[in-house]
Amino acid sequence: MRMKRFFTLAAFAASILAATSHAGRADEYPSKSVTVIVPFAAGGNTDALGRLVAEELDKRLGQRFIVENKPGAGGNIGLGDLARAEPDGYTIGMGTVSSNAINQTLYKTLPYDKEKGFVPLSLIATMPNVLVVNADKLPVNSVQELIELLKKEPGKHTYASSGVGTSIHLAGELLANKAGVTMTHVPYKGSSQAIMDVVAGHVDFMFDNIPTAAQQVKAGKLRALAVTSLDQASLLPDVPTMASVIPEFEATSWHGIFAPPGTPPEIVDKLSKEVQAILHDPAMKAKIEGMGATPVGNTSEEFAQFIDGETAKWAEVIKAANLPLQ
Amino acid sequence: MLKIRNARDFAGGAAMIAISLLFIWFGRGLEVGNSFRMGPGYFPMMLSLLLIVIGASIIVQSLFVAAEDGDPEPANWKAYGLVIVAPVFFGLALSGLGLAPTMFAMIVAVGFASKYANWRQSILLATFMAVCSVLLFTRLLSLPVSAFGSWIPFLHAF
Amino acid sequence: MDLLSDLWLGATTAFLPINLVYCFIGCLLGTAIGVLPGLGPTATIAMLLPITFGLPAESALIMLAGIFYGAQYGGSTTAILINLPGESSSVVTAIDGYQMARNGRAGAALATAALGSFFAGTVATVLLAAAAPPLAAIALKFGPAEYFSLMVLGLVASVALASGSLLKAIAMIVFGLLLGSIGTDVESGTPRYVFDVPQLYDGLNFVAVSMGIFGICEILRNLESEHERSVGVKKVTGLMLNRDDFRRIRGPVLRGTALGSLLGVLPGGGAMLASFAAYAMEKRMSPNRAEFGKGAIEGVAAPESANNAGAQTSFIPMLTLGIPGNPVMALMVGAMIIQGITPGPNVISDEPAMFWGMIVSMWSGNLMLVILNLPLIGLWVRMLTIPYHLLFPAIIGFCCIGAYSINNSVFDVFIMAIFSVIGFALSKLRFEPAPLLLGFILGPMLEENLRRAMLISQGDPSIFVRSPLSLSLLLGAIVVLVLVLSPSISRKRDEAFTE
Repeated sequence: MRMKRFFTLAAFAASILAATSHAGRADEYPSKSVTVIVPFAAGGNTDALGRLVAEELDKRLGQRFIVENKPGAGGNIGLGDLARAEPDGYTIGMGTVSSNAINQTLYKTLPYDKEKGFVPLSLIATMPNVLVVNADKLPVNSVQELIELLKKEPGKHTYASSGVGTSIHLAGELLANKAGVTMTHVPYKGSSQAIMDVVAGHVDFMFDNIPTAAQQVKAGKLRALAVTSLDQASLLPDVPTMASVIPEFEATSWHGIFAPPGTPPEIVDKLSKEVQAILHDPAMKAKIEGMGATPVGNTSEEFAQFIDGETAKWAEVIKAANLPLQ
Repeated sequence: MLKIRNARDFAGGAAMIAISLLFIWFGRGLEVGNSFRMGPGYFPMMLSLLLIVIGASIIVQSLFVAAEDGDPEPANWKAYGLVIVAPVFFGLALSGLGLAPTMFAMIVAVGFASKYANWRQSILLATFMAVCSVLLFTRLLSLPVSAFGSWIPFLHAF
Repeated sequence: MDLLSDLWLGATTAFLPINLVYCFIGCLLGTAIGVLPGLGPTATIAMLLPITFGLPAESALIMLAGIFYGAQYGGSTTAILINLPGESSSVVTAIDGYQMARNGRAGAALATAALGSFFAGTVATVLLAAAAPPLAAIALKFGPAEYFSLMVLGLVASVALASGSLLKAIAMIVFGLLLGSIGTDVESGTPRYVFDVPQLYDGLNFVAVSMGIFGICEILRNLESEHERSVGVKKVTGLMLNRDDFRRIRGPVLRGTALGSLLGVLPGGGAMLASFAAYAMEKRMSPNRAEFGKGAIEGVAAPESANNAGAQTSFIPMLTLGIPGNPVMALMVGAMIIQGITPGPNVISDEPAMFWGMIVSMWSGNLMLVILNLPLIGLWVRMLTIPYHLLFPAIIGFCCIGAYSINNSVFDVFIMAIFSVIGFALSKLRFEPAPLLLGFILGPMLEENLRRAMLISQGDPSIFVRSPLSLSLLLGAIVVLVLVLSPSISRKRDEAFTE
């Protein structure tokens, strides 16, 4: 029975190896470097926020937090990798309104279990969109005037977006839905070409992320009608909120940090607390506000509740707009 | 009597028709729409039909115009096999073996696609490439790939 | 003179020793990255972005810009030496550049690319300094209808890329357009030909496809007849250009620069369009047109000048309107935002030191690149003397890891392998790969803009002829079509007569 003993030994050795490599206890976590998956390309908002937070975690926890960009399919590829990762706290990832609240409805199948989802750690920041019109093409000065115009000439006016099912597009659908108006949606690949065509007057209006749009507004190329957050935005202090015209109108893009399902609660707790502390640091706050975003830093439970609300809201809009499921 | 004067173009035309049929078949679920309201299937459908016409014209041409160059080409199946399998192996083994062993094994193996290959040179080149790629890509450019993967237990940490 | 004082301000920024150092680092990195197959400027800038967080804004942007145009130089090096275009804009350079290398003129081809690029870069930089706002106004004139017409003109012109059968070239363009339709349909959001593979939702990756169809496929062809071509290329004759070469490239460089400067302003593929429009134009105009496809020096000079001029002027929409025209520019905007500068229409007046500093650094960067690259030519050419059986495994190795680096995913490595098979089969059937790749790049833009224009016009096709710009582009396409068809008709006639 030499073979049998060999196998027993091998199994024993393997179990020791397994045990040592799974140093998953919270008091010694993290004992090695942690991977932070960003499911979007480098250079975007999600990437920038992810890197800012990872850098701080690095300093606070004394281990390397390495950002890995895994872009593709609206964030689904990176999140698929996150879902498959060992739930030991050594792989965490970023998520956004698109990847973690819209795609749940927009995609028929996701490369991970929709039911199990992810463990939310903390909401990092929200970023309002702003409704901008080309002042030469649309003679409107307020959201009310725009709605009246759209009601008078249904379907005649166009709005641009960064793609079907993006938060920018769905903000438009939400407007159509809540105000009972129809307009023609003109999707682009990404928001920069879209905003260019609005500036040039090929398309009439659009909702766009606030930092870039605010510059066009300041230069007088576009007219800002409203911001889509519930509070007014610091970058455009004179612009009213959509909610002041259409109650409860909120369409912000947000970025949060997640762990794979099944991550031990102690580790979730530890990471969540660290991220919250980071986001309440004044220097960090200033950095994020400089990007045109509002830092949040809430608890895992608050974030989970927030996501549930967002998912339900966008599911309704997607169904009402009758978007094709991917 | 029609006869195929340019077998290569005949096959080429047939290949184009086959490609367009594939696109039509797999795109059959896409809504075509019309020229004023184009659906997602409109563009691929029109292109496929156009490609069928072009493929057919190439076939017709092959029946009348003779081929200019007819010299047979040598086939080197060993080389084809190795060169095409090499990236596939690389893709399959990268996460498990890690960059260094994958690169090493692939370079040694693919070298034998050439008949001038010899073991000594191949191993030297493979070692050089493995070291270079680890230094350049995992260290300098920090690609998310480790030098030694999870299938290699003790070196994995490095 | 306002311009002079602005340029002086720029010079005082760009010629600060620290900024010169960052400019040099950027150019060096860019060249290195451009030479490595698969690793493009987008990936590199993305990877290096975090490093720039700690730098002053001007230095960071000067370095990133250096990477961008450095990569344009480097990309043509591999296109010429091993038929591996690392960038979409160097696809055209590969056609004649690689043939020149095979004829033992790799040195001359590389020198042409470097000098042509330097000249183009200088002119485009001056243009950028003197006329950025009016050029940006041109970019704004291009709406979906104008883009569609431009793409039609581009596609018609791309037929001229083929040196063999016209019919087969058109077949390749159409096949390329079909491949371009893989992925999520932009207008409706419907996935097309993705077979539930998430990686296909964003379409096939250009770099993976071109590495398969050009780079790996070329290795297959070389190995198959190894005994005949064991030397790989003919003996290298002369590293530099002779007087006759200079005479031949003068016109193409000038025309390429003009075309590139104009088309580069257009966001979304302008620079790429410029490189092959310039090639197509030379192929029609050159007295040496018979040499095209077999190693004509004009076929390297024109597209290389065009793409470098375009690379410089592609900064215009970002610098004057605050709108990035391509992914690299989008990354630069990302870098600026992190630095606390949000680019917008007022960036010239708000951040004059950065704006003018960047412009002057572009010129100094181009100068550094030419100084860096001319001596390197000897080194590159010597690389060709490495026995082929040692060179090709290394190329495959770099291609694999380059494909992986695109999205940090092995999926693109498999795509590269699949397309090496497809490319090889097509080359056996005597189909040429360049028109296929151009169809592949232009296809999505053509379709998107066609459908976008129809959406905006509420289904009224007259939008394409109502705009004078669009109308003239379409008329241009018809003229080119007639020009392209006529010699082939007459050639056919000639053949019929001789038979």
